[in-house]
Amino acid sequence: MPNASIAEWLLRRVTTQERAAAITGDLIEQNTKRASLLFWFSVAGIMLSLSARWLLAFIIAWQVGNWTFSHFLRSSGILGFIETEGFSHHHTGHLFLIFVISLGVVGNFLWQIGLFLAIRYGLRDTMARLTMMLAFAAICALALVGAAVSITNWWAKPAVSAICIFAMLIGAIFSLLTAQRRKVTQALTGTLFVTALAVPVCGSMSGLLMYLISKIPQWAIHTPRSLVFTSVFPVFNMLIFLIEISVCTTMHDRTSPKDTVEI
Amino acid sequence: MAKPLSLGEFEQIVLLAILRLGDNAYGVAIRSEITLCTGRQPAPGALYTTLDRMQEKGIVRSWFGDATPQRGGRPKRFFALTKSGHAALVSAQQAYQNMLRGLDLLGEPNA
Repeated sequence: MPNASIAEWLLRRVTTQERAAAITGDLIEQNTKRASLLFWFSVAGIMLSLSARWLLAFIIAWQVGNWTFSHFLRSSGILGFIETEGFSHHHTGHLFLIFVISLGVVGNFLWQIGLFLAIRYGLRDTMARLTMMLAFAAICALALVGAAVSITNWWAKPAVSAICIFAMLIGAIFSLLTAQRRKVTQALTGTLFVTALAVPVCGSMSGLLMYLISKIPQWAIHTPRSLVFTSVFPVFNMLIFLIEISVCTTMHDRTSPKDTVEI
Repeated sequence: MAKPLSLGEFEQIVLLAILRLGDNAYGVAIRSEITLCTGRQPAPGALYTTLDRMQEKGIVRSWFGDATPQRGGRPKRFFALTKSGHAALVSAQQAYQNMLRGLDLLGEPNA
């Protein structure tokens, strides 16, 4: 008999413990008289099938999410505004700048989580819908900020802040209306909270790593130091995204309606 | 009344197999039943993915049986249709019946 414990351990990476045990049991029952190669092909096929959608969602949310959001920030004038305001000596309002940066960061997280959930669980999923709705609200608010700062030359900032806060309040009320939405809002808040914690932790780790790299003599590193530094950032960025998606998936599974839970 | 969920062809086949098997609908039996009735042998990965997806949508529910020595001491995961799953299957089959009506597709005219 093939080593079923290894197969079960492998399957546990892509599904729950109970389901992995049941699938392994099915494979043992089916493959008692067959070659073990077929057993392992089946295990590989099942692992690929069960993780395919997660992988697809992860890659699209990671690549397309980042690309679209950064291009949106650039084309809407938000990045230009942050650069001008953040690096000029003539600050027109620190609070507004912090507000716009926070909105941009949260909007980016929501957009990526929303894309992931929409691909992984479908557009009918409550958490996917709520996340996408909040992401669009953040995008609209940022577009409004972009339009306001480029057309009216900064003077409309208080009005823009007020509109953004009002839109957020509407979103908050909408997300608390039903028990299911409240559950989903809790899950989303938890995801954002863990991601917010992961950002400084991963940032510190990457800073520490860069410091350690800077202490290594150049002759010991075969590649240019600047190239090493530029490759550190995406790795930690991906680590943050991986944490974000793992928490999101765990939180999502807790919000599943009761009639679909195993009994 | 809520609109029934739409089902794909393979989903309908799996649901019909579960209905035919009754209380004995678990992975191996469902796969064998599909092979027996349709002549197609579904890939195990495709079957488990479909079952998981249908459970997420609330079309089927599952529970675990007792562990058996023939399965290396591992339990069977049994499946059954939920109310909404049953309604979705009836709706999908009704649509097929409506489309077949008046056609001589199965050897005899469908009245």
